[in-house]
Amino acid sequence: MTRKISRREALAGLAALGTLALPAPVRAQDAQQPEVLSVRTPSPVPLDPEAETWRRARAAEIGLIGQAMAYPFKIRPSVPTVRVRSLHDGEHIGFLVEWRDPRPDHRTVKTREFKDGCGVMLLPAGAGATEWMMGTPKTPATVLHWRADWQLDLEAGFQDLEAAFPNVAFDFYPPLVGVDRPKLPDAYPADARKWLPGWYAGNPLSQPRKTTPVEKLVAQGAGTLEQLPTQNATGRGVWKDGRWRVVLRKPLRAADAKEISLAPGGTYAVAFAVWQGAHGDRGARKSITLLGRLRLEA
Amino acid sequence: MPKVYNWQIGREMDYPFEGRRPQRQAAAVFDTNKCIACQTCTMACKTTWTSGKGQEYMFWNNVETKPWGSYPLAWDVRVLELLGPQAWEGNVYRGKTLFEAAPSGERALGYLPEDLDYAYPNRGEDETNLPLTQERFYLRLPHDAWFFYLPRICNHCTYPACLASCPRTAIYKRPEDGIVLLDQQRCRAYRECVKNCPFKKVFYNHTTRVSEKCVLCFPAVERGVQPRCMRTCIGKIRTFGFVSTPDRARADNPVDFLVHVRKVALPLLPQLGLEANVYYIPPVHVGNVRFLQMLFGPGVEHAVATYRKAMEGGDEELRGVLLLAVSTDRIVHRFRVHRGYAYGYDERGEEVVRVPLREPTMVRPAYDPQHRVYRYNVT
Repeated sequence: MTRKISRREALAGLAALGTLALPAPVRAQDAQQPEVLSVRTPSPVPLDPEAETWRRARAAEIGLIGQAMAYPFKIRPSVPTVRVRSLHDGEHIGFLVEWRDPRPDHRTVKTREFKDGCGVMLLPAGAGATEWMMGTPKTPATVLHWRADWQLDLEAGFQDLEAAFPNVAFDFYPPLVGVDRPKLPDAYPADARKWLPGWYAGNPLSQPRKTTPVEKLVAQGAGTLEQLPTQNATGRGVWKDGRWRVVLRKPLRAADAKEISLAPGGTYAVAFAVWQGAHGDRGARKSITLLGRLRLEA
Repeated sequence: MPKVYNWQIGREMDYPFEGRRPQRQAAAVFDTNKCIACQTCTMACKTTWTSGKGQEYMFWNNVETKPWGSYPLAWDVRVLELLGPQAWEGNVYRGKTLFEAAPSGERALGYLPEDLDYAYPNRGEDETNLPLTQERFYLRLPHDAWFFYLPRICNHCTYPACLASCPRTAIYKRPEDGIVLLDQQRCRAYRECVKNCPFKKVFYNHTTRVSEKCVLCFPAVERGVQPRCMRTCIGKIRTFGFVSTPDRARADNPVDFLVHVRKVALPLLPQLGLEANVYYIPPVHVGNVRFLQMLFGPGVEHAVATYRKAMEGGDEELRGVLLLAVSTDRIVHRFRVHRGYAYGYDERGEEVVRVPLREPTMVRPAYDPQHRVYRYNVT
């Protein structure tokens, strides 16, 4: 049975988790608990955000608030609302997340470049204010994170240094003596990757070859986010007319130990997040919804 | 927020984590009077650690000219400007540290540099504090017209702002030696560390898209060998070792001797509250003491007077320990000055270096009758 979190509980959660007084711009009166119905569709959940099938699902317009529970805070949300639809086909669940954004931000090559993105956090029914803060050790949260930078890598090829600094000059990159403008990943055999520490260490963010723009993660509290071993979530975002329309899709059944399994007819807890790169959003600097309810049609 | 004790500002201060000092703290003393800005340290570091794609602009070690030079552009001016005017009362800092001045919802006060800020690592190089007009071209100490070189690496702070700012504790301080490392596997590129390190010694890798920082050549340090930037120093300005807190200072530890006993080596921008662990012997020729106090805190006048006295021929012990700098690749844990020699010992107490306080000299006649040649003067 899903337990709805009252606004009072949500505020108590906020207060208990770091702020004694809620900063005024995080306007709790604007916050809404998502109430999302995932409509069963006989056809597969489409990856195209503009597919007609999405019209079958009812759109929920949900108010966003800033994030003032875990440091660093985002006092004011970058965008006031997010529109969400959901479909499932008995095998996969998909979310169509839409928000206003006057400028798409894809690239994360320069120090001050932050990408646009959106996230869906899934928790078992009964999750409350504590779990809302990125899950707990007992109740891990499954997070789907669509990233505009990964999508650009997929669609236009890995955005390396030259994408942001086209006039960059260098003699050679060890140990690739004589290789003119070595391109990742193909010009980098395994023994050359030592010079690319993040990649060498296995950081998923540093892998130049992307397979999906949607990362599937697990969190057991703020600051514990980890990529799950099976990366089987996918999706696609389209920016048009000052608006992002993004599909995030994952199999209903869990592939990994800490991942949530969903079933037709089931009820779960859900929250959404939006990152606006132009506002410097990243990590905890995000606009979020309260924790609400997700129901899958039988 | 927990309270921690920061001896460099003489008081307790706010810090996001409980104070827990490492078993020992890696530290260094840089003698600004001897630095010639040859950038050998910079290149030693560059070729060792940051020659990969995406690291082009990174200088984990850089040498800048003060007062005008800075890398990234105006890092110190911008941080001090953000903090605003603050006051010392004797050796106690009464102003706000970067943690105490943190805006609501932030761990520390900071800013994220622009890419162009990193584009001029040699800006202001060799420029004096004021225009060189003819009447100022005379030599006396201190100088009216001056500049000096400030070599900089990560300070492996006791209270690092980068570590405090990372929302996912991807930055950690090693308990065995206090070296601050950034976990390349865990970083998710939030760049909070780049923003809040006031010294701007955490860098974003353009190609791997995660942040990186100076590792103080920890694989060498673990083997009792000094970091690359230290042991390649041409001017022999760098003393590397371990620093104690003032109450545990050992007079035969080279770093403790310079920092706590003679008090000639001072922390960089102690008012920021990070308890930085690279110490500087301030330049003795700089006329503007207030500028030096802004950079190195209230101990400047004492440090300059003590250093000058030693260089004029007094204080054999101080001269001795400074002569041991970069005289061996090994880390010197203990030193002794005895009968005209300075001795350095490693962790096991074995002598690793012996340096005469005065180099033996020999004067030879200009003409060598045996080879029937005139000699050039060489030293």
